[in-house]
Amino acid sequence: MSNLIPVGTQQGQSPVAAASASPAASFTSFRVSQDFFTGEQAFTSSIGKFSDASSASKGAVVVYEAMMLTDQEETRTIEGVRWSVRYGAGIRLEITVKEAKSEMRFDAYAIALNASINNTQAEYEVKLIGLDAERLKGVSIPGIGEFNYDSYEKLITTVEAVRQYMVSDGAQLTPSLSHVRLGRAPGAVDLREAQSVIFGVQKLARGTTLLSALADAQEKQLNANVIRAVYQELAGSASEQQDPTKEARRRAESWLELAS
Amino acid sequence: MADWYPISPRLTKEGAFEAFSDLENAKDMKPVPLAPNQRQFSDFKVHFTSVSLDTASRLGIASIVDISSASNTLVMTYDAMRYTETSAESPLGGAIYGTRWGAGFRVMVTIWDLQAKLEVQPGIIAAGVELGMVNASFEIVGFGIANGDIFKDLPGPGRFDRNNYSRLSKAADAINGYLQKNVDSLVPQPLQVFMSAPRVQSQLASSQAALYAARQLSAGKTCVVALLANRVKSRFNEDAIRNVYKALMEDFAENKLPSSQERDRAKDWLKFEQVGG
Repeated sequence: MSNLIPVGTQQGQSPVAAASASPAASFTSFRVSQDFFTGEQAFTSSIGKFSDASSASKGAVVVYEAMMLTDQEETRTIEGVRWSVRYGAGIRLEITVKEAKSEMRFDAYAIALNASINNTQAEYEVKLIGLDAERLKGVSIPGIGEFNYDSYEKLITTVEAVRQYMVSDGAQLTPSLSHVRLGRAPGAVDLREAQSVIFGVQKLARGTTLLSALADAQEKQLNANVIRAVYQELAGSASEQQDPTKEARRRAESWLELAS
Repeated sequence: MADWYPISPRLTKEGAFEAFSDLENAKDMKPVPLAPNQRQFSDFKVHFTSVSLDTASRLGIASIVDISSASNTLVMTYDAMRYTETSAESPLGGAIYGTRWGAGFRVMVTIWDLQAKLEVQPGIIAAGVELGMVNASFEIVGFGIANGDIFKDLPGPGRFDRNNYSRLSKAADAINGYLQKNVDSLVPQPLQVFMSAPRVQSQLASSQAALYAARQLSAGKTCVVALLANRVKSRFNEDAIRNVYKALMEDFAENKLPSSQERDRAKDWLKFEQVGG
């Protein structure tokens, strides 16, 4: 995942979005990307179309963007959280998958295919950032709609037209709040994630199979993916049903002892 | 073994790499400077590498969302740049032997859930994406180029497939031509460093610090005592210990004895109860 996380600019949706600003600065680089986010990550930075945190937790968002960026980076502390914000201008396409399925591939093409055969439901939104839609003569910006293979093909044309406009002489681009830069501070601790780690290490030290550990974790609503990662780091890529080796158990015991 | 690694060119005010700002010798972790009369942008290269998400995060070119994202995830980078190489007689910060100062673009393909035994080469990964074998996201960033003309050569929304990979190869040629014509207006940036494999801390380390801190708190120790005991063995990040105390205590001060309620909260946390914070 990139360090630069797209951020929504609608007021009132998130503390980050409320920090919107348009400083006078010139563009120094370009960025073209396609990334995907869990619904929770997306909801935090006001991207995707979810009504609330609960509906976001089931979904995922794919974001494609073509932007010009400035070098300017500002640190803002909002509600106790430090954000590094960046400014850019360009086009962003957000594709919201309402119910993400683990077997799905999270790129625009795969989602378009899945939506066309009713394997998933998705919506798109086109956002122009720091770019005046009225100057895009002859380019139809579809805004919001159902995402499927038909709309995907139309959106490719739209994105292409906007990218052409961005490199044309008459383009007027204004640096606008577009991203936050993520990076976990060295001392940052996610307490819920840490509980999942400790639970996983304890289970491993006791010789529990990964399969049983995952079943027990479910009762306590701990993160199964984190527990899988713990087993992988300390026990290697053994199967879920396999008893941990003595060596893996010893590593887990040492890990727990070190924190005494 | 030392090798060339892509790095985020962002520097601190002191001219050191921002990516290494958490290290003890952060102020010495600088790019090897260009000599005053050194010819700039003398070479062109497309440099390919693949690193784990941990290493990519260490180098400031990717971000780790959680522990589970760090396992089974690779970051493939593809730098197309004109550059000039510098080298130091003794490594800066004890680690940086050389720097490539350049301009161009960097493609980063993050490959998630790499279950299939695929060789990590751009063309093979692109084919894997096309066959639905891997999840991949991509990011292309320009360095030292403010001209958006290159947009037309870069991928649109879709996927990192062979078609888009082929577009990137053509974009690399286009950017070389552009850079050659515009050398005078380019500002070189430190895009790669020659160093030993960057040391990454296990993603489990912060959880170990949390376990240590919660155990100390549940035993009624002040944060100061926990920090002193930790310092003797130099084990965990001190900020991590402080942060756990802050999260589990209602009324935090480093030298304040935890109340019985705060101790119970730590005990509940150790039993995997959700205690907030």
